[in-house]
Amino acid sequence: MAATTDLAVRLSGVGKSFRLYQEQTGSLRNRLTGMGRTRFREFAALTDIDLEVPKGTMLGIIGSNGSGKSTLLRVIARVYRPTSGRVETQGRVSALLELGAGFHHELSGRENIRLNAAIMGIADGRVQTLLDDIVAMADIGEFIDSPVEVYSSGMRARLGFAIAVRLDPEVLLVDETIAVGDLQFYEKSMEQFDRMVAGGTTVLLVSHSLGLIERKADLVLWLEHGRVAAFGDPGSVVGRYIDHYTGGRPLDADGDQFADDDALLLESRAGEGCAYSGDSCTVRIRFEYAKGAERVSVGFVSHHGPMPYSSAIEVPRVNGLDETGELAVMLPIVPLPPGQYAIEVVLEGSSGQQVLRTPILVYPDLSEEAPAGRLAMPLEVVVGF
Amino acid sequence: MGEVTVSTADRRGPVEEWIETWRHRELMAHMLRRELRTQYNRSLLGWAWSLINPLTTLLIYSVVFGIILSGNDVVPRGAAGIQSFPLFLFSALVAWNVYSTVSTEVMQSFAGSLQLRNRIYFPAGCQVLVSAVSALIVLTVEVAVLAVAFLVATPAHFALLGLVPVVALAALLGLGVGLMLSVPNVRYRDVGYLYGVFLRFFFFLTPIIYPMSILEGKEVAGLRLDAAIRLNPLTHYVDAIRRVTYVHEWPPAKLWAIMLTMSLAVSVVGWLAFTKYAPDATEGR
Repeated sequence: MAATTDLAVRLSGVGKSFRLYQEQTGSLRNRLTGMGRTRFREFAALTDIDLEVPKGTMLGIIGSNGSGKSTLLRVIARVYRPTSGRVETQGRVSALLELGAGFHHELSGRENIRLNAAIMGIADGRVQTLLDDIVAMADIGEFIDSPVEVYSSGMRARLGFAIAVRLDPEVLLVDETIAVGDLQFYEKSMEQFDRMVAGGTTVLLVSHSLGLIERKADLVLWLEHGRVAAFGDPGSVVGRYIDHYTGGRPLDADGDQFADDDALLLESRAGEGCAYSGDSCTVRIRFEYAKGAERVSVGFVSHHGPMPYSSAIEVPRVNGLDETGELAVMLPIVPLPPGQYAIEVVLEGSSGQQVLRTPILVYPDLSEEAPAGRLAMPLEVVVGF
Repeated sequence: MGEVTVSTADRRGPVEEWIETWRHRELMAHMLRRELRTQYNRSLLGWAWSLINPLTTLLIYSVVFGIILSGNDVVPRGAAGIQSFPLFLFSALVAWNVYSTVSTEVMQSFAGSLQLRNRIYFPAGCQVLVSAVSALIVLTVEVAVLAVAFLVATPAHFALLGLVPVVALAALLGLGVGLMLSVPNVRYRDVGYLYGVFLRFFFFLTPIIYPMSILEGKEVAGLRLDAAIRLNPLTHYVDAIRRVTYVHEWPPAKLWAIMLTMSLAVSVVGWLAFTKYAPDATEGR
């Protein structure tokens, strides 16, 4: 790669497979008794990945759960050794692979900064100046001198982020799906990535936020079952990704009911046309009063058919608007397990009804395990005697 | 611009792995300082514990074997005519502790480092080498007390200087065994437990609480015990440490050669095995 100095990361024919052992726990007994050979099967997490990332770009990595995004980052970070192929990186690589990066839980935040600096090979003299900088950025007050094990997840995320970003990496690997905490901090971190990319850092960002990827990334890599499904310009890769997950399904069989492009718009933290399970989202509706729009109800449609609808609520009528109007309906929660659905809006009035539909891709919750079942119900438990 | 780092399916060889580990010496220095600082975190007595433990063992064995079982009369006379079971025991106990502590710490530290290594890259050898050195530094307290005890009880003698190479060789042997066990210990936790059991057996199969002379002429099922015990590698280290402390005698060249060969061979084989299997143990599979 010495000749092509404009590349920050290059992968050629990279594969990574794991041995999945059948037995639950590693025990010598199984090996010594007649049960004999340990049974395992090879699981290919990555297959034949070729990738070239120019310096100073942001690469967005998308794909469904288990498509190999995190494994790819780990291989580039050298935490995993590839099973085949060749990984080349140029310059110092810093990685935010998990909440709280490379923390040693018994050490204080400050000592962890020093440990990470030492792992990154930063000289002691420079660490002192960086230290104050990182402490200020993490903004966790006097917790900085407490052991990391007592930190909240938000504090871990902030400190891990500050360390990864401020240790001046030339290549930064971020698994946003697990390494970044609350929304406010999330926005702050995105701004930081922008500044870093502008300053020449190469950022590889794994994200479920398609809207964000489409807006911020210079290049997008879509992984599917450990292989490259598409690579290139964000608009086209994200578009194909959404089509792949929503198109050609029985959902749009009754296509005539679909709204035209801008009549119904779904927005959420996950970007346009997507939402996180359990998170809130906003549905923007453009409609015609003439077709009848006095009450509105919103529901989801899955492959199994319609899901429960909201009860109809009155559409406030503003004087002076008589042809077309716009409504924004805020849904405090998306009560669905991850998957592909459609969102359906029914507008009713004395002169008839309008049914508008748009696809919605629901991602797993930012922090929690994906719920099982057809409906994700928010629950609260009260214990009494 | 930064240098190019290449990662492929090819495993680094033992020499390359050593170079890569050495390249991270500043990290190791950092880890060592940290390890020593946190060694006795949240403990009131702190470093005193590195003395209390061996001294307790010394006290128990001195009372049980020295007084109750009349060991004081069995131990040979040493330098300046001393005949003391506690001193006779203490010297051997130090050699044993150096070996067993270093090997156990090295074995366990590798498993302990996996969590961090799963999130950030650094060579597998760093943590194990650091834990060996850190264990040795903690053991220095014990070794120093041993030296002082003999300086007080017997006249100063140049042979006492032999304590340093004997302890270093015992630690090197421990490092080698620890390296060999560290990867299997990740895959099968039984290895760690088995090693603990093994150490308890070997404590008594090594002439620590008894002199070698006691075995002369004894046979079990046609096996001459005084010859058999020399097959135990640790016998030689215990023999050597007793010579330099209790007897005030510089060990013969043959004994040095045996120890040097064993320590080097075991640690080299340990490093070969470690560098071959450790990189893949990282993934915890």
